[in-house]
Amino acid sequence: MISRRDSLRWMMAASASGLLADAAFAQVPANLEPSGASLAQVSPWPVVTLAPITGPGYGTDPDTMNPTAPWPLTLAPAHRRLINTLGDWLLPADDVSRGAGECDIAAFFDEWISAPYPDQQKDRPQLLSLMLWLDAQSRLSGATDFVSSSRIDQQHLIEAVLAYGNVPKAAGDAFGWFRVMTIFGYYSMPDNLAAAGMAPENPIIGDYPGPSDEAMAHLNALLTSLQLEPYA
Amino acid sequence: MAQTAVADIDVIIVGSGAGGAMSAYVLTRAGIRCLMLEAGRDYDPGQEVNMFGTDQDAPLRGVGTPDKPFGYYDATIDGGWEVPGEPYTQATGQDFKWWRSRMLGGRTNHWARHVPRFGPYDFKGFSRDGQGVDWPIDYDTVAPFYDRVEQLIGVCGGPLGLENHPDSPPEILHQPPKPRVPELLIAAAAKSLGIPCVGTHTAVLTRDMPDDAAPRSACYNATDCGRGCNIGAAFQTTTSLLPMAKATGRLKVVTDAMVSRVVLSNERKADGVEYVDRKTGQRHIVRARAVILAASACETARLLLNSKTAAQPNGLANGSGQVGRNLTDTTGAHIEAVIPGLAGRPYYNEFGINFAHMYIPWWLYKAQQAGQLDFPRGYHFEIGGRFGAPGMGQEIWSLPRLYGSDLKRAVRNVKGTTLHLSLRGEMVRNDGCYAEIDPAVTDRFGIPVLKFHWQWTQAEYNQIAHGQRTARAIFSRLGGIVTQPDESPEAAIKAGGEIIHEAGVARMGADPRTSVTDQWHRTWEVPNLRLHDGSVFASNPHKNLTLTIMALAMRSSEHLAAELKTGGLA
Repeated sequence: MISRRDSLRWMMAASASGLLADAAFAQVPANLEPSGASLAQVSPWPVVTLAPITGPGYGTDPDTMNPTAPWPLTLAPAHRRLINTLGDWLLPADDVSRGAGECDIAAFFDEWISAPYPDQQKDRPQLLSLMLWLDAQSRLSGATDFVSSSRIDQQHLIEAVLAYGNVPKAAGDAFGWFRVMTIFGYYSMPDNLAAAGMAPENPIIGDYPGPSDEAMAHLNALLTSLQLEPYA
Repeated sequence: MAQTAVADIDVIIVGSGAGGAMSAYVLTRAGIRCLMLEAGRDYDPGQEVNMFGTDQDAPLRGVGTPDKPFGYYDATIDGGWEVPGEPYTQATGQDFKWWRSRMLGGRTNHWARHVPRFGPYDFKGFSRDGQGVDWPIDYDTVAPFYDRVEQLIGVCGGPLGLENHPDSPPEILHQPPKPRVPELLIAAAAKSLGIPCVGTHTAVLTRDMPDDAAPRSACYNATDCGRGCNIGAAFQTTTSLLPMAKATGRLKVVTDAMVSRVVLSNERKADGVEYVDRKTGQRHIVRARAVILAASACETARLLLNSKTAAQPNGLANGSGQVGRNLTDTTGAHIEAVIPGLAGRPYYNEFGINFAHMYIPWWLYKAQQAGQLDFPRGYHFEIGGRFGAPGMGQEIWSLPRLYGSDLKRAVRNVKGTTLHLSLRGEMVRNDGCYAEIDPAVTDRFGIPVLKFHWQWTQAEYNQIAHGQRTARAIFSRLGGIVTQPDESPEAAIKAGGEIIHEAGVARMGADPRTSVTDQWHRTWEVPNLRLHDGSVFASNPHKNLTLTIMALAMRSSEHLAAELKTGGLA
């Protein structure tokens, strides 16, 4: 098992390198032409100072049959509206599954950054700074905040921050983190996972059947392309 | 000081994990009356394991926290790398991690359940390469006990046919599960490089095992064994050996009993143990004809060191000075890659029995013996990677900068594309790795704690470097992209103790000057005191050690039963 710290370190490096995006999954269609989306005016990245959350966690012997998170939530309603709005931009409702905002992905973020554990406490200022920055950046376009800005302005800002286009590096990093967390929170909901073609496994009574014929055909084609003999 | 009168007890067993539970099973069936003391609380997987609880239901989607390092649902109670009120210390600048749990069944409630047998070379390492020490027993001595333990606990797997990887006799193993796509892919690449890949022997049932006291069902291929198993498919003592021993009517279990020291009636005879009730703080002394310590390797060494007497001032049964010495763990490293060719592959139930259906065993014995390698002992790779909910993994961080439905499509496309190889290797004991009592620190019960010393040698770093090159060669053959940095072996190697295979701190041997117990696990100075955990291991092969702990505990327990019945300990 690798530590979360190592995992994050590797992934930031891989993500920054663009190696995988360019080489591994080039077949993924992109609706976003690496747009070079960029901002004309840029709000500075706000650094927030927060009092630490010191309440109890769930302890070393929680009732796993009745899971509960005992810590109080800390996000304001306006925060949650913003997170759900962003969630629906990243993972919108479509003919496959619900939107992340519709699933109230903000509830997941609220539980996460309100938790009294070190990893989550480290994420908390990042999220709050990101929200402050998005609102401040939206005000430069005449809106009162991100949520009330026009759809066109919202899209432009999201494209710019995804592309690191004339935005503070911290904003690009925080939004990258936010996108990963949105995917994690969204697909840990069983309905969304099933809609993505990965229904939680149903018990198989009897011998494990192994890969389906379709899965084996895909494997064998891959082995052929790699000029590898199948394992006997 | 209060004393508890526990009438009619023959043997006290400290610990309820692999060694302790096997001891209780064998002894009670032989008519011996046993008292088991477990430091943690009572635990019943049938009532407490949430097999189908979703990540969405769990706080923080079930990820690990300091309270539950291996995740919310993990079958570890009041434990982890730190136990509240029960510290341990380390030498300045050194790093050793000590995983403990405080629950009935101990660490068998959460473990990899990978159960390879040690082979003939593993018992005679010194004779082969001049490093470490030989065991006072050989493979042929232990083989019949491997056979019986595999039958008793239920092991699935197939034939191996490999050097120093003994096969089981026919009809013992359960049917192995079919390999899955990631394993077949790795196996094909390994084969092209002349590296074997074989079915794993795993302590998970693939057929039912009826029993009046502990009926167990075959695995249904759907849930995480790390949570524990309420159908008993994944072996843990709480659903098998312990209820079977209790059914004899000859096992009494006391939980929340933190043993503090062994009590002697004279310098060569154990009279019982003292324990602290974790709930009340009350101290009790219980007495018996023999004492078995199976508290886990380092806890057992701690008990011996804390049981010193005027005549044995360096710790009980420590005339050799070897108690706490020779601390070993398995080496570990993790190499991960994304395989683009797996993108968009068809989904099927890839859960299987949860653990790796295949693995890469050590294969370079001849090169090693010919002096062609710069490290003396081998390693194996455990294969990982399968379909699962997109988490915070490599393939998600590395997605193109998409949003919207295209992002959802990209997530679906990359599912099941990340594979990893986990290296598990053997280290030879060295003088820099040991545990001693920290004279300045006690736990919340007033019991002195352990201080660890840990230093890898160049041999371990060379082994890790070899494994890194091998893993990268395998992934390269698959067109994979290793996305983690090209780390030095010194950076890549896991901390001492992190693989949770600590052993050797009260090793067995043929000479009381250099070992703590004889081949029957009897401490040389106190023959009615036996050690039934990893503490007695004379070496720590890369092959996971729990099966061997149980086989040796069975062998020693049968010897003890005979001794008790013939009045040998009178």
